[in-house]
Amino acid sequence: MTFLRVIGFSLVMLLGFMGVSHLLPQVEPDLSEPIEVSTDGLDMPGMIALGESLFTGKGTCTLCHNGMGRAPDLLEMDLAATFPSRLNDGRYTGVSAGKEGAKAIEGYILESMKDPSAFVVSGFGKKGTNDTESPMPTADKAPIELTVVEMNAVVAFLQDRAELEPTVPLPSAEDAPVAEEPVETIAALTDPVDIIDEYGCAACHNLNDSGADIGPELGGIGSRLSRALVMESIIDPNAVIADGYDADFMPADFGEQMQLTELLLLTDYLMALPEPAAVSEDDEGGPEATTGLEVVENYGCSGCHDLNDSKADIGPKLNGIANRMSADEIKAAILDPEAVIADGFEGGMMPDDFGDEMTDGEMALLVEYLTNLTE
Amino acid sequence: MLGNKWVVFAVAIIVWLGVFYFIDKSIMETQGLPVRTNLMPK
Amino acid sequence: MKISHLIALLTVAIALFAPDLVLAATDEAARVLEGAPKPSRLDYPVIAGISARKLAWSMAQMHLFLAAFVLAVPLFAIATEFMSVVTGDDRFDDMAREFMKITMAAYSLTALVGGGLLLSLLVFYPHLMGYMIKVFRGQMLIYALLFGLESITLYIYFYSWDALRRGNRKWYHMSIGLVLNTVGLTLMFIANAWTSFMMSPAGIDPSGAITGTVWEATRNPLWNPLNLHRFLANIAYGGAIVGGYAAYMFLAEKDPVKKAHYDWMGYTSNFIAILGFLPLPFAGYWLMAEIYAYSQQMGITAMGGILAWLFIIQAVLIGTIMLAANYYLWSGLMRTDRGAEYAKYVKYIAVVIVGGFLVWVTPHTLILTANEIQNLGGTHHKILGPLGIMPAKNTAVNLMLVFTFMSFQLFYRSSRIPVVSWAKSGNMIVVALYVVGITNIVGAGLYGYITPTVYKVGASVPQVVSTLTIIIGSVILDVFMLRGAKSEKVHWGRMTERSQYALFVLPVAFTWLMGLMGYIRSSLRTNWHIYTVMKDNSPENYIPSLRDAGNTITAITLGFMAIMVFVFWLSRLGKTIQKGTTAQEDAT
Repeated sequence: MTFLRVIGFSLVMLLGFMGVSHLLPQVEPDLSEPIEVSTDGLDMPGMIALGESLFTGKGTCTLCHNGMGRAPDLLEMDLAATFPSRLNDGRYTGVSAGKEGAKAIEGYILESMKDPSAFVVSGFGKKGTNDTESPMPTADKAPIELTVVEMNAVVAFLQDRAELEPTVPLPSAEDAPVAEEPVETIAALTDPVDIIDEYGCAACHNLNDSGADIGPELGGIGSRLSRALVMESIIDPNAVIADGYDADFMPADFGEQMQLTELLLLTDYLMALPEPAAVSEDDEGGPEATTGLEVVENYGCSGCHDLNDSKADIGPKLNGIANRMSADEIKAAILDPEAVIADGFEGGMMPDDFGDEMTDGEMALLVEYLTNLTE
Repeated sequence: MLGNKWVVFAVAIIVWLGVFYFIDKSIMETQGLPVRTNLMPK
Repeated sequence: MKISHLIALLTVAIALFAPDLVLAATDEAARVLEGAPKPSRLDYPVIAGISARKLAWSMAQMHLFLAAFVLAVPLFAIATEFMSVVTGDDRFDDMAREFMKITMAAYSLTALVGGGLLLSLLVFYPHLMGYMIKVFRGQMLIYALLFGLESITLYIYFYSWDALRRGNRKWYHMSIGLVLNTVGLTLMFIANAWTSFMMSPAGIDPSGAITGTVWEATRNPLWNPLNLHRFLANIAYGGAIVGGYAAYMFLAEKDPVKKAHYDWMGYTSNFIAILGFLPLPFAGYWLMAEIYAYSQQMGITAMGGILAWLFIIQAVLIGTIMLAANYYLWSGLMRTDRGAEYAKYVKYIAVVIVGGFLVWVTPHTLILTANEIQNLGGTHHKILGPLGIMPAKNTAVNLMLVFTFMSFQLFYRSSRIPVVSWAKSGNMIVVALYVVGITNIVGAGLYGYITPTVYKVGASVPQVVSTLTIIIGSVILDVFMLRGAKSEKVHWGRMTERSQYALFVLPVAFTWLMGLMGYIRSSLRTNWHIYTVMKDNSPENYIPSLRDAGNTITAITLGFMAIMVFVFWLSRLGKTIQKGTTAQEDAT
């Protein structure tokens, strides 16, 4: 009896400890195999984006370069003013001592990554070394092991932050591929189809027969644009606008949201897409939709509106819109989107030609569908 | 012996204060941190 | 007579030469100028879907539990034996022997699990093991040799107990115990070297080519901090487990004399556990500081990165241990008639310890939904947020330590009445020490609170020193004050049943805590077998989530508890007499 009670008591305690480990926030490990992606064709905005992802990710720079006082807070400080003053610091005798200009700053940053003790900003040296020895690990050695391209990317990122034109060479096909390591909590997607799903590309572009036409056709884009331009269009969509399309439709923050390998994989995937099948004349608008849901899908509403959990936030949420607007008001807002702009949203975003494109039947279906959409 | 226990208490407090002050001071100095400076954030 | 002389000589010789033997063999510097192997994912054997990492993890942890216990118990067995010689009290001697009896049954299981660990490593991580053998060469053979020596001395030490019990012979017996402990500790230090080498490799170049002697690889930066940490933890752990044994026997026995014996044994074990436990945070602090000094990255991975949440569970476990240990001490006040007088202070100590515990488990950043953040006005709670940062936690921990010590001091005093003339003044000096020391701890905490990060870290040192000053100061004062003190009759066995459960809390929480710390320590290497030198490319090279780790640790702890129940049962089986027959001799 005593035995059972003691065992029971211990078991309850064990389960309690186990319970605590379940209650705390979990950091799920990344189980995916590291994939290597070629950086060939990466342009300067791509390098800057790569540099940023390395700075917070594989490079582990933000472990110390943050507001905690372990190392200069590179993301907060005024780099444009800091770099020149460092080069002119009397104690600095490295490769770029006394020089100025973006190229000299490139040399300075590279040197600080490969040989952190070459110059230690005063107050940040190892204790007792009087700022002659840096506590920073060498960036191209284990455990960080940045490649040449990766270090260049970090330089480009920092130069960009200092409002300078990056001077680093762009990667070529011979350079070692980059492999993003599982440093952060969110695992990078490794299947381009998942990436397209995750970022909702098919809602606006005609991808995998989604039929959407808010953005340009992506099939055969590899024959029209270079790899660098495709990448740039994802990171900075307003830089070049395809004929017949409007600016500001595509979210400009994919560069921040996507992890680097995702961006590279997506680009590779898009480059390899075949030309779309010849467009027949009556494909204009496709076969007429017969349900409200089909209308929504054909016209890509959920690409901008939060609709059935699409989480898009360019336009107002549509689930539960009937609580706010009548059927007539909804119809009016589709026909002339600029007439009334909902609080917190901008005008000029929604195409104003849905009235011309939709048949009356489709419009009726759509309005009915939206009116009955529950929260 | 040593008179009233509260007198002893008061003396002991002062002596221990001295001891701990000395300890704190020497520790902070070996770490190269300032002692008796105003560190209140501005 | 002659034989005992021979034994004595031999033991002294071995005690002196065992560590030298290790060093001598490790001095040849073979230069192997090829780097560490770089196995790819496909080079790791996949066998019948067994999770290689979980298997090696469980085996290693189980081996460590058993080894910690088997190494620690002889340490305090010999100390207890020494006490019996000094005081002439046979009870100590009987207890030391009983300690050893439990160890004997656990010993062969330790070896068995150790063999299992070796096998699972060789099968699933052949490249790593091949490389480790290259680095440590002959040391591994010496390890095996010492293991044999450990077995021999352990058996001789236990079975010669009665043969060498009185007079000079007792000293021979204790010499054997000394050899046993020397060999045991040497074994642990060697194994620690392998572990710490994997975290902070030395004696090799960055590619892994061997450039130094085995001694250089052994003396890597984290070796000594790990040695100290494990040494102290072993003592605390061994004490806790023997305490659990005594508590069980106390509950199971009906005979008041035996109950008194086991109560006393439980008290002593708890005392040993707390003795090992109190300095542990400081050893941990040293280990952490050395980790930071070796690699800032590794340090930050532990304290600020993925593993930061783990320290909340650690706080829960240590808090549980402290509360249980205090509760046991307070219950013990009832053993003397004078104790009740002190019992009135218990509630204040309890408030401080529970309060400290709560501050300690307060997380710094909370995981909140956007809505909750808005309601709170930031991710840090206005009132609770500040409690999550380091100065508050350090203050809480130090106060908990001071008050735990106070519990112990009250208990110790409850059975002794000072007779020196200056007793009253002396008490005032002790009270003043506590008052000023605690003020200093709180003051340093506040100072760290309002100052920048560097000072926050800096201010934690005076807190630690204050705690130590209070403990050492009052021990010294007590030694003088209690000189020739009248001892009060202690009614051993006058203990509640409930208090014994506090003694079960200790081994269970300790075991789980050790499992957790093992998980943290090996996770620090992230995806490296040997940090910065040999990458772990196996499919299971990631840091498991807290949930997975919690499950695994619980499973291993359950396994260990099952083994311990078996071991205790074995040690009782030895003195069980078949019904209907007469005992030849009444065993102890």
